[in-house]
Amino acid sequence: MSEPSSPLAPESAERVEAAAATPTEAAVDHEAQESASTRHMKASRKRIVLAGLGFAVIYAAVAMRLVSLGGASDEHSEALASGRTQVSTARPDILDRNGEVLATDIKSSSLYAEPRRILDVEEAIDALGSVIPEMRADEAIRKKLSSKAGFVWLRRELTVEQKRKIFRLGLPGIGFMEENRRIYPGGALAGHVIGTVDVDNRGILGMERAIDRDMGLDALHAAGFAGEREMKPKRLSLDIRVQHVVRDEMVEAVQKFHAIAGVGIVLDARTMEVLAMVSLPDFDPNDRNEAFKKDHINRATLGVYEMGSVFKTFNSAFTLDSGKVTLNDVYDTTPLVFGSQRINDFHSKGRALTVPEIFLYSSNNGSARMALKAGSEAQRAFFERVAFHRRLETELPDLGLPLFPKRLSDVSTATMSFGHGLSVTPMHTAVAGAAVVNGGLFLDPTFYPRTRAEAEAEAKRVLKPETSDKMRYLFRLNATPGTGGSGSKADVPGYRVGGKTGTAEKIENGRYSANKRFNSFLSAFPMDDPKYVVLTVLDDPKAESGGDGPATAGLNAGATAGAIIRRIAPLLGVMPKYDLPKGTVASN
Amino acid sequence: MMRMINFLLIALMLIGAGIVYDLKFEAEKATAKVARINRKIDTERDAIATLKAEWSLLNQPKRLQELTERHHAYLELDPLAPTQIGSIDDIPFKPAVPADGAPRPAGAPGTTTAAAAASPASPASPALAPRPSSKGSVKLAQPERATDHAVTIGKFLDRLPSSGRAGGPTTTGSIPKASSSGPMMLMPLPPSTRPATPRSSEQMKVIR
Repeated sequence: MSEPSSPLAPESAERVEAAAATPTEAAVDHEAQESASTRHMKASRKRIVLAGLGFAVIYAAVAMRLVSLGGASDEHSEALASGRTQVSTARPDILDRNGEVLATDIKSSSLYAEPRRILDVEEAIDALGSVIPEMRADEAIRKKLSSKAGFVWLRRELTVEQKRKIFRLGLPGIGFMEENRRIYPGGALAGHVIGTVDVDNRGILGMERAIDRDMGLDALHAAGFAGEREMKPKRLSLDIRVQHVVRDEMVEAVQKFHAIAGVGIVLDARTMEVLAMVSLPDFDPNDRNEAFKKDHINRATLGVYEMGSVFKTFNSAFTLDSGKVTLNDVYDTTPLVFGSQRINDFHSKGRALTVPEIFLYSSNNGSARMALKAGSEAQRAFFERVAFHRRLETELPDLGLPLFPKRLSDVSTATMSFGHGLSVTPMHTAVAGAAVVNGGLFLDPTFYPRTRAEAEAEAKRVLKPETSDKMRYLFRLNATPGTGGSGSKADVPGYRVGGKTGTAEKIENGRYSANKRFNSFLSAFPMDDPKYVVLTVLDDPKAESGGDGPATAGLNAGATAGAIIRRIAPLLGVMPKYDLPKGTVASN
Repeated sequence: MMRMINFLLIALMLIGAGIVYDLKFEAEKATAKVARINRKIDTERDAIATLKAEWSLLNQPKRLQELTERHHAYLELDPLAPTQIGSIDDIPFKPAVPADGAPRPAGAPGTTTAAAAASPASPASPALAPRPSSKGSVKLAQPERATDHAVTIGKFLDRLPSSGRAGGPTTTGSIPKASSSGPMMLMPLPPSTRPATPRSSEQMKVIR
């Protein structure tokens, strides 16, 4: 037996000795021994428990620290997340019908700092100052960096070069974030159609808003998704070249005739695609503050106006369509009197006029008599078919509700025949005009491309094709020089322009004012097979010279429409044709 | 015997470990490369978007119209008149040329100044008749006014109302700079900096 080395060994040796002694003695001794050993045992157990407890405390501390570390919010990623929510989200590009960019996102890097992670503020400022010198002297930046904030923007939209240099500095707590910035290369070119976005790149106006609505971008943005998605560009029906021409000519006309406002619309007569829409004064969507100025409302689709004599187009159309009026009928043009109200003619010929003459000389009384002959019901039915009683159903969010008389009466029928007593938007007028000349098919306009097949499937017939043929004849007659038609200024040799002028008197202080006008010209070309409808509107134009000369629609709105058609017809691929024998084209 | 097997297994294990380590290393390198390429693709894509925006800025009808109006004396570009458009049927048949007739000056319009101007080659479009080129090249070298108004995207952005862009260096020229500094290689490089393709073709020859 080897010498035991444990502290318990002497005890066990005594126990062995005790066992060898007498039983009684041994028993007594044993008891004593027993109590001693249990005492020892207890002491050692205590020590073990103590040690165990010590370890348990240590492990508990470790575990608690782990839990606290695990549960602790990460300041860094929190700071980044707060920054990321401020970053503008991506949007789909907007293209015109030929793929030209109307609106796009460009990436720009912005510089941010997490002041809590910056080790030495002075050093950081010094280093940043070596790239962007004015940062060195900037007290605001020093204050930002010394603060205890989690996240601060230092500079939005760095150049590529600056970003590279700062990146090379390798400063802790300084980082970059990619941002999207919406730009509109055309500026004010098509502000009212495209609309604009807010700081967070969310559409707030025009087609930008419509796109958000259609694609559910709002919801995506709220859910925090829209940022990284690749989005297919949106193609509009707009043609950037036509849009430019219309705007160019309208701006010139508004200046030349000192008009308050102007509207120019070009529609595809078959598909009702909007090729161009201008409302002056307009705004540059790059400057979103401008968009909501009161003067910058969209007059083409939101503003409602008494369109005046252009409505004789619709009057002639539905009266001829009713069959109760024919082109050869003759109508008295003496003033109609309804109680205290009396209808006057601007250009009274002092004799009875045929239906084409009424159209050409824009006789209010003749038109009113035609309308009364065809009946109020027929007039109302036609106006409702071409949507004069409701908002147009199109993509643009700002759509005006026409002011349409609730009750039928002879007075309203008579006044509506020449475009007074009801107010519609210029877009209503253009679309209805397209329906009149395109063979009698009505369709709500669209700002997205639409094929003819799609359009034909959706279109509703509002006029008989024969009526549309007659209307084309009247349109062309009115714009042919030498017939005395009011639209002769709009004619462009070769492009067979047809149109109807409208010179409405504006209501001033509750009365129609003779020297405040609302001029418009509804035209289409080429009249043998109308492809495009052009509507020009000038609000309160003056005579060109600035004097008191005439300021009727034919002289301003009509001439402007002619100038527009002259420039857009070649762009749109309309071949000029002459009634002259072939070969003379070349020698011209 | 047993010892031999053991040694063999140990050797196999070591080799296996080595291969796995190498694979892992390779995979890490490949991942890094993928990340690098992805970053590059993103940069390129952003650059393309920026260049597209710049192109559409430069190509705005309004700007083009201003340019043609400003340089009207040289370009003499006018709006197209309807009379300038005709179909092929409008062109009269070529009159019979006498057999001994002087040979028509063939060649690109514009190179033959006097002949082109004098010849009745294009009766359908007199206004489109080629212009003498000598007049142009002289004037083009000295434009009446400097064309310093090129709207680059940088200048465009500088004009925009913005929050954090008070003064400071403009962003003009950021795109070309980026293209010269590494990741962006949108334009073909000049021959001197082009990756050595000739050498590789020589190597090909050697291999053959």
